[in-house]
Amino acid sequence: MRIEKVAFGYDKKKLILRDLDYTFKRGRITAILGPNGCGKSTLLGLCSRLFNPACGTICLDGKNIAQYKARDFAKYVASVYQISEMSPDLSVLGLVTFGRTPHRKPFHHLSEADDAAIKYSIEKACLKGFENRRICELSGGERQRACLALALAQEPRVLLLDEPTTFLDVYFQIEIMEIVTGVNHEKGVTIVMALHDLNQAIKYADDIIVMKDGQIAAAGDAKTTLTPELIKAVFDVNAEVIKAENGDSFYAVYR
Amino acid sequence: MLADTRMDKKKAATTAIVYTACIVITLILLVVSIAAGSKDVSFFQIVKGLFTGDDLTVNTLIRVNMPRTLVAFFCGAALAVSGVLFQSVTRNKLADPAIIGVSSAGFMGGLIATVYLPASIVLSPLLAVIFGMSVFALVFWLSYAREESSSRILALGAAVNAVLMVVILTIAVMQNFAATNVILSLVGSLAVPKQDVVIATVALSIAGVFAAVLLAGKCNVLTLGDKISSSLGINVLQTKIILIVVAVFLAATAATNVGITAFLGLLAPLIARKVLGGNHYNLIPLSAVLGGLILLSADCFGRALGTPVTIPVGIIATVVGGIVFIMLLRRSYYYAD
Repeated sequence: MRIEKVAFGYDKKKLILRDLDYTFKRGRITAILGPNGCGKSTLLGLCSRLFNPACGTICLDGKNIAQYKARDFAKYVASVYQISEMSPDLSVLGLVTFGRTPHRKPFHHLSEADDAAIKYSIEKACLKGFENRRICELSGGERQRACLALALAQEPRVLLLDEPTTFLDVYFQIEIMEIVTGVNHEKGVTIVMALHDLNQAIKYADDIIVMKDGQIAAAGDAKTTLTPELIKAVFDVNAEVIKAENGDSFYAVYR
Repeated sequence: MLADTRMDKKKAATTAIVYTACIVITLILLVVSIAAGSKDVSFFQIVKGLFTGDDLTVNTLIRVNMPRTLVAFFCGAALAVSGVLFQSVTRNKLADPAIIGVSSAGFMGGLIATVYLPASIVLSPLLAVIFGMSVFALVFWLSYAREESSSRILALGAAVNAVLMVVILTIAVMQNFAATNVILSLVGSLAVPKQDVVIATVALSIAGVFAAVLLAGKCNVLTLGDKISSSLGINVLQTKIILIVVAVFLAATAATNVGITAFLGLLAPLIARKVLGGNHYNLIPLSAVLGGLILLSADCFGRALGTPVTIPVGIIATVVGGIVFIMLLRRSYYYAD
């Protein structure tokens, strides 16, 4: 997915994104980092066609995404958001079945491919046994996994996640990350996610983009891009590398 | 295969029972409505008369009351389905064509056509639809910001509705209408409709409900919110506009006949949701039948209660609907929807 000279603003006076150029690499996990209001979510919104760029183009497989039909685009790209309002009475199975919408013809029953995709998504999202649970009975983590399963049922080749772990506790955060990396390894789905947690980005992503004020401040390999200097410049906090006993290294941040 | 088949079977059985019950009640109510307001015929006399066709009293009753029955039933269905569609667009279960001002706009269109334009059966519904559409476009545009704003649309609609009511009454006063005439048609007097009006109403209602059923799948997806719907390949704005067009069309069709019958578009879908759940493939047909049944029974009740003066159908439907609406608002504190 290639982004060329993209600019965007919610109103004419102020641009949120300016002159953005980047290519998300196929089959890899890219994490977008940056302080609040830097344009992470906006960039994902543009990629998922929630809004249209004011200028510039976003291309997918060499074709401008604006030219895809809505249904075809939905077979290609799926999105998961921070919070989603959903009908509380729906069952998990019912919700995940909606993921097949772009693949189904109206007034047709579920095909075998539909069933298989739904089954796979539910298993992948660790929702086995939850099929008949209603959305309003789920915890925050389970609900977010259900949203993820919904997106997976679309069988997308690109999965966009907008801060999928923000409202979850650490256990569920790790769980979501593991589900996402699992899907990436098994099906080669290209993943682009906006994250807040620097360490999660380093641990689970292949590439990292750091954004500031609507522009890309740094981009590159996940393991080497982030430096204490960069973190200081972008987030205005001090960072220090700490080694954990299991061999991972982490950034500890403080003011 | 994936679903709990036991639950599926139970659901299918419930669905079948509900629809059968609806058909039976409709048939009974049909007979009752033919007799309503006249004390001299029995239920069985009418059933017999309906089948044999040679009972003169019954034939007269059918000729007099059947048009009214049909109009009441189909307008009720139209209002209920219009309510479902508006609820789907605004993602708010309290949306109703009368509350958001579409019914009064439709009524105003019809009124203007009757007052200022040459008499024609086409012009009045046409103008009703045009007015309904423009008013909802205005309300929708005023409330449409970047974020979903489902409660703002209701508040704005209520304000627009109040203004329209004043305009309607002003037109009536300027034309020196006997005030009662306008008030009567506002609350839906249903006084013996002409045959072409009956045919037009029935045809338009059926067409609208059919269109709504075709859109049921999209309504289902829209319940997931704008962002997810869009991610699932639904063109959200375009879909909403189509839904609104159908909903306004239905509401305006009903408004020219039964006036501004508030809360029906809210009450029927509410019951339907409780009975068969929120799947629009069931919700739309069931709401249609329930809406028809409610308005028809309101009309029967009004006729039976008020003989020789008939209490307008809209008054009864609105009183009952209003009470339920208030109860619903109280309950929703606990639901914290």
